[in-house]
Amino acid sequence: MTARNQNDALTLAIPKGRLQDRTEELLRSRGYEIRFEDRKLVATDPGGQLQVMLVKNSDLPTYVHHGIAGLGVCGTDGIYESGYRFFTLMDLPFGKTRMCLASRADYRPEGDVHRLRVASKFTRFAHDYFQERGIPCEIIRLDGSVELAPVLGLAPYIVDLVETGSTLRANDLMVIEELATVSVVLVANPAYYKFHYKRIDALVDTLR
Amino acid sequence: MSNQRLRIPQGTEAFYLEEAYAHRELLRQFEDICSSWGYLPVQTPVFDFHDLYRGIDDETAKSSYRLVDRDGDILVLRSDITLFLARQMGMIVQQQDLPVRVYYGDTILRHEDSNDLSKNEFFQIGAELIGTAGVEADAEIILLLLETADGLGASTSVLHLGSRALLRESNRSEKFARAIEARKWDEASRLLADEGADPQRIDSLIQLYRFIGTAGELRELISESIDLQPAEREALRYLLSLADELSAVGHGDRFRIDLSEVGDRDYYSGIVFHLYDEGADAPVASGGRYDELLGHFGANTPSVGFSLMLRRLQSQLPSADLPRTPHPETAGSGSFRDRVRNARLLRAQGKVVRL
Repeated sequence: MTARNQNDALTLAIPKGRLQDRTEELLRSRGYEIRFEDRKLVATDPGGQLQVMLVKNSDLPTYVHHGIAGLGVCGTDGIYESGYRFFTLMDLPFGKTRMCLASRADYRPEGDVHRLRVASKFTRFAHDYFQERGIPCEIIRLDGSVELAPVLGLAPYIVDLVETGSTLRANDLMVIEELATVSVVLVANPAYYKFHYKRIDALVDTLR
Repeated sequence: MSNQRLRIPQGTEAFYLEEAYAHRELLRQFEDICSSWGYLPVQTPVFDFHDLYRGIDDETAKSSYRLVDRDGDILVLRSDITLFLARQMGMIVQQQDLPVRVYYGDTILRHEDSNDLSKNEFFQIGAELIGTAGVEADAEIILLLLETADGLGASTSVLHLGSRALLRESNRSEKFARAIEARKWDEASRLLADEGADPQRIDSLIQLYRFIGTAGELRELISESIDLQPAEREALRYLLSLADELSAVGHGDRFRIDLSEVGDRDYYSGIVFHLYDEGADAPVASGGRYDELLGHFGANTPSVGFSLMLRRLQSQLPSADLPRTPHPETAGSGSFRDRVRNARLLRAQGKVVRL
């Protein structure tokens, strides 16, 4: 409920995992040295400007929406899935990827296909994408290893993030269509931005 | 049934004891402030005919609960007091009564997503000045809101002041309004280009709607060679004269002009504002001018007002700042009759006494 903190630093949530190192590296290069002590998930830079919280990628939008962190580093895919509205302050120079529709390379639909059956972690995105185009679609939610779905016969199609395509190739899958570009962005809780806009704009200028 | 005992329907809330006491005290403080400003209370009904509100405000319609009465009429539960109040005032205000100053405080019922139960949009307090247009009426409502915020303990809050009138002169599409409100500048630029605006004009408008700052900084911006229509300049002049009035009465540090504030309700027609407070995850209050709203309900008269989500404000005030329940004294240790007599005496001295 609150993004107050004792030293008045701006609060920023960053995701654990593949984006953590790149985000810390960017912050370091701009003078914000963030060191998480052993097993701790909150750290403040020595200058006291930025308090950084390390959270699970999929939970990050929730923390920002509720103002626990005023700012967040997150993929546009995760923000879309959350359904929350944030101010997007800037694109970050890493983590660009593609949201793709894929299937087995040898898959041939039999007869007329009236309804796509798609497995995905990104169910909101997949639902909206096909609905906006008037394509009937059945979405099956999976939480990981989505590429297994066509291999094991759960669904002939998947919607998933594709970076190099090596995971797809290793499972004899191929991209049928690129549905969207996904980037990593710095977002702000709108009310937090409005209250702290000067300091946040200055931070964005530093990060650019 | 047993499962339902542990659940509460989404969009409802109950609170108890100390928390309810603090809520009532905050409400009483608000009522005292409004009374001292010469505002009178109004009470709106819990539900009304749905069709009366059709087409006035899509956002409210999306979050409203509807039901069917025994005659088959569709009813809508009160989800925004401003709308229900406009309907009531539309029925009763007469030209000779104007201006009318009213305040309210009541529960509202809104649908909330299952993953978003912390919005605290359960109890709305607010005030309206009906029947007067112009800078002084707008300033009065803003000053009353700021005094309310101070009185309730949110003295660090800051008001962001924008203009729906300005937006109406630039582009009337709702998509454009939503892009500006979300500060999606690429999308706003694209919408302007789709309507044939040239690059210089697009650049000027984006520069304008990005603006957050003081009246002095806005004057500086619009004195530059920025491509604005006369009606847009007029809307800005109005905003600046309002800002001057607020500064002249000592509130220069409590507001910022923020032209991305365009109002999240379709019925706004003039100034619009949100009140932000340190630590709150959403604005604690909002408001503006809606000169055409009462006309939908039979009274063609201007109106300006604010509403504040009291439970949201209460939830983020430090607990030490909240009204505390008094510690009652005991009425002694005699017989019941003696204790009643003693309690009456002590209560007459203003003490809180428990039998």
